[in-house]
Amino acid sequence: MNRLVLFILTISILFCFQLNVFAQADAISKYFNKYVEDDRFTVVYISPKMISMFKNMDLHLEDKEAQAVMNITKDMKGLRILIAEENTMDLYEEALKTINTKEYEVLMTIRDKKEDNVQFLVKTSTDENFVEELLLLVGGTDSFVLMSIVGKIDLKKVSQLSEAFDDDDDDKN
Amino acid sequence: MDTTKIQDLLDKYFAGTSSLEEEAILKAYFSDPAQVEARFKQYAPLFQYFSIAKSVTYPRATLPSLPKKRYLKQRYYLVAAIAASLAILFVVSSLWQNKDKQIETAQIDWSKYEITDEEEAAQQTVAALRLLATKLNGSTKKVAKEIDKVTK
Repeated sequence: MNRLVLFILTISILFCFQLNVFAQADAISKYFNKYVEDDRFTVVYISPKMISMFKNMDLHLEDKEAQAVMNITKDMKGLRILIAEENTMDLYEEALKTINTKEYEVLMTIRDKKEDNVQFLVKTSTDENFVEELLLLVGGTDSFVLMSIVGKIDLKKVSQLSEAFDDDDDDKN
Repeated sequence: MDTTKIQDLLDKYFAGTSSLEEEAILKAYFSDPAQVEARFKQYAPLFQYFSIAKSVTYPRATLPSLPKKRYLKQRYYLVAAIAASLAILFVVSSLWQNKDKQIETAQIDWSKYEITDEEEAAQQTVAALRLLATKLNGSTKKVAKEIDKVTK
């Protein structure tokens, strides 16, 4: 009888665990689904299948840029972008409020009166070297951008990417 | 044994005045049916009662096995009941937990927005990553500049 009860418990726990694994969603699907259906927004989605095809393609980039892009796309499981050109600041503020700060950690916030406001958020995973999702929010005077990259993202590769694309030398130091 | 003595003892017994020892004598006398006289036979059950009752044994060999089986069955019902209630509990709780997520993700059909042209998809991805990189650079530079201002 004890064995039977134990068996049932194990099955139930496994069952529960499985459901939880299946129920993952990116931030846009979870918080901004109303924007996706909205005509004012430009929506871009790039599927994991498409991303996996990039390695066979010529991306028309400099070597170091192409290398950095390859490195990061290898880990990506999907790219979603929402862009709006009206009420950009309101949308930005609303988005910041909507995102669950228990689930997403703020990586960087820049507030600037003259230029765009930027916030980077990450959804941390159990492995501390990687993040499950990288969110970029941009609230400027002429555009609102919400970008979500899901996958097993290595933040070191993200910083390598930013170095590779950093080509205005006069600003260094 | 002396029959007159037995008669005396019986008289005392029925009168309620016999002592425990005297009753023991009577019991001993009646314990052997062969020596009991015919006229005392009617009283024999009174004194043989305990020895007869002692000899009665419980018929173990013929004990029916039904109750045991029934007990086992009840145990299975109990296990089944626990299993069923656990299963219901887990299903309900996990549905409850995932309710919001499942509903929301189900509403979006991402394939509608998917870029199916490889070239365009690659360009969009590169553009997106470029934006990401410049924002990251812009932010870090801004921070660096501010720190420079403070330290100079």
